[in-house]
Amino acid sequence: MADKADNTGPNRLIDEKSPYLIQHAYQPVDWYAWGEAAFERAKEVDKPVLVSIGYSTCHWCHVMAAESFSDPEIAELMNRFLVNIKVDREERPDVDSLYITAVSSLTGSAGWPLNVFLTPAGEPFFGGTYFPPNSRHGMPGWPDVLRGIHKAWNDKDQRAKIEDSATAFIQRLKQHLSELSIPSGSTALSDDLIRDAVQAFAKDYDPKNGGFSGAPKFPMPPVLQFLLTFYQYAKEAGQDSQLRDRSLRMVTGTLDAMAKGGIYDHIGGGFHRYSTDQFWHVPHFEKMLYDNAQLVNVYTDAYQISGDPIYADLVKQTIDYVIRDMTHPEGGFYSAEDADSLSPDAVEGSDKHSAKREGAFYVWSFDELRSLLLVEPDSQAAEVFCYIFDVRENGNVSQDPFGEFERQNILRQVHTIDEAAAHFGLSEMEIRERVDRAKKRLFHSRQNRPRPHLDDKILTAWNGLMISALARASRVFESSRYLAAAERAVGFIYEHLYDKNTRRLYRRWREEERKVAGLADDYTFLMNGLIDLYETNFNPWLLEWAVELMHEFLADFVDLRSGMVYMNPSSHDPYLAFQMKDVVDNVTPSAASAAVMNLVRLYRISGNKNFDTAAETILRCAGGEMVRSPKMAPYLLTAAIISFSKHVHMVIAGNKKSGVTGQMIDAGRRAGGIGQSMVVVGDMTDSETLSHFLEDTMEMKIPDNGAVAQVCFEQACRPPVDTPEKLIEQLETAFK
Amino acid sequence: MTTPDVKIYTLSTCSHCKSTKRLLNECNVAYDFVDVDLLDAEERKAILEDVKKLNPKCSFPTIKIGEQVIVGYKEQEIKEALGLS
Repeated sequence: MADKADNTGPNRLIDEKSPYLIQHAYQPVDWYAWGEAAFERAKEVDKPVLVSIGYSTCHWCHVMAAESFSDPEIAELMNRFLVNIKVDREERPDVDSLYITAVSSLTGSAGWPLNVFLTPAGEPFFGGTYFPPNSRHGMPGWPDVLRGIHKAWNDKDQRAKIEDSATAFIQRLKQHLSELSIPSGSTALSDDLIRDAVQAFAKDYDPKNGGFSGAPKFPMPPVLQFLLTFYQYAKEAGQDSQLRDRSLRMVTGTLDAMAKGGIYDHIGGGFHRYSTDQFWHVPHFEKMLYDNAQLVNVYTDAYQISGDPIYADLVKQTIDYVIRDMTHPEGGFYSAEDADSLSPDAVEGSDKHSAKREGAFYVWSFDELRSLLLVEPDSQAAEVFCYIFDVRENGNVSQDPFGEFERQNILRQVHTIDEAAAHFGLSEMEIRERVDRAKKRLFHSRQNRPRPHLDDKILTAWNGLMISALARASRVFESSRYLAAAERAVGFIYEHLYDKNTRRLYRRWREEERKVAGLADDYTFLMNGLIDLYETNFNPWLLEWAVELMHEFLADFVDLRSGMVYMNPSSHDPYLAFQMKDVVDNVTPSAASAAVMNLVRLYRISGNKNFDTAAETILRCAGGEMVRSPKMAPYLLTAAIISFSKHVHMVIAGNKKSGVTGQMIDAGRRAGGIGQSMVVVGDMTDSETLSHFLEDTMEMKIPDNGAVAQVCFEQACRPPVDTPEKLIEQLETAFK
Repeated sequence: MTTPDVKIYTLSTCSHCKSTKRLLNECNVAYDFVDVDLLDAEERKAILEDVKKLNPKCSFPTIKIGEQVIVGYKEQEIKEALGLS
């Protein structure tokens, strides 16, 4: 394709499917997508490459796009001086991870939008994050940066220096990262290290507001999951009574605060990405699939432990949100909803872009809310709602540095239902009815507002997280609707994002196009979803697929000698300087952490020793680093806990539709402990499929009526039993 | 060196029992076995009493190598008792 010669018409990004890339298609910058064409062009014209990375719900990415990339004069400089590449980090987290690491080593910090300059050979030499269109507050303006780069590149001496230092830099970085990847002494993870990690999180914990940092505050599901699992493990083992209670309190404290805060969408369900303050009040309003999926799991687990009905409500509302607003008609789940949207009162205005406001879809002015609720037959409805959800005449946002929420209210629950009942002299039931009616009315009114932009690309990794959440919630809340949604999503991924001939996964699907070879988190998160769904509907095909994916994953992403897990296979992309490892948990678990969890579970189900050995090798590799920083990978510790926990294996044979089989399954789940594995053989087809990957098949006859269960523990099995009561009795003796 | 007498009590349904038999076969060890679940009621009752004396939890495989009793498919322990490692 010819270079973009004028400012009319779209650039190359119009041919992309990523909503983030398409957002840049009508800019005067002559953008390329990541790949051969851009790097070939850079060599041909001998210009540096700009790699500019962001994602569609990133606020400052939009700001820089509007200020600089849409400006014809600035774009002209970019087109003249550089070959420009735009990257959606959600499509290419491997590209992102490499350059985030590079820029933070070059400058000491990094974030998004990420702008990094490379030589045509692909070696980074300078970078930064957001740049304003004009220099301000000591920050150089973007055009000044461009001119500086151009000048240096065209000065013979300076260019030689840039090229030498870029080569030296990338070598150093590669060396540094590979040293990290082969730790000096590998260490087995121990109970002590797990306790150290609980203590370390306890030091970070905010006992007043919940959460594990000051502002900004992120939900951090892997941390919550770890603390919950530690509680269950210590309880099962009858140890660490004080530490385990503290661990549980940190989780419930955080979950309670988040459930009340503005980070939760009280009207439509679902969580926003993070809170800008330490009180969980003022969020960044984007909603990400991965947060909502993981939080459904954490709230579901917490509900099982505490029985708190508020947790159950949150799970149900959040799943309703995902099924209603985030699901493709064929069953895959979309990625995210933006924070900004058109302000309802500015829709008529001419400049639609500038009328977009953070949280506009979610916030309420006192007057609007009151006038909506005054329609209620009960004159107190508005008052009750305002009392509970902190709605004030002048707005309830006190810290508002950008003036985005003037006179607006971000709903947060400041009074409980019983406090409101006492305050208004009404029964709890009456209060609850009023609140429910008010929420419905606000929900319907809000439906008329312009919606935030939907990032409707479908990512395998994040779908894996949601499949897991739906499968587990369907068990706990006995919902066939959640189960069906999980099954449909698996079907979607199998159909659209998996190549049955090559057995390879893809990462992204949108508008009939799949693209980007699957990365480590695509494999690991999907396997996790498949195993969770197997343990829900016991369709053995799910396990067979998971085992197949595990073989592919171990071959392509794991160095089985050192135990290092990489984001992408070594042969994946010739334009990436080197493979990035994937071992540090963030808001989602690292691929290494998720891989260990899958390996432990698949070993326990299948008896395949290679899975056990691989899990141990990865754990030992991370162990050396974990001693120095125990908070590095809480989900890896969660997996370690499962591998330390007592393993009871159950085989249940019986027609899956029969009530007795169901009762046996329930009894096994309840009494089998957190490290249990369960296989259900419903018919001959099941046992045939299972025989493909179980080390030793169980030759249990499926009874014509009823069901039998066999319990194995510490490499020995008990005689089969035929009632749930006898099964529970056997399980109890296993734990004595 | 004389090989000790090896007797294993097993269930036809149990994967660890199968693994144990496979291991013994691979090591060319002669052994007696009884699939307890396949016996008729009378015999089963009697054999279960024997198993309980060796292994009060009455789980399978229960392996008797000479005078030593091993419960479960513990590959290393079995090999050691057989003098194979």
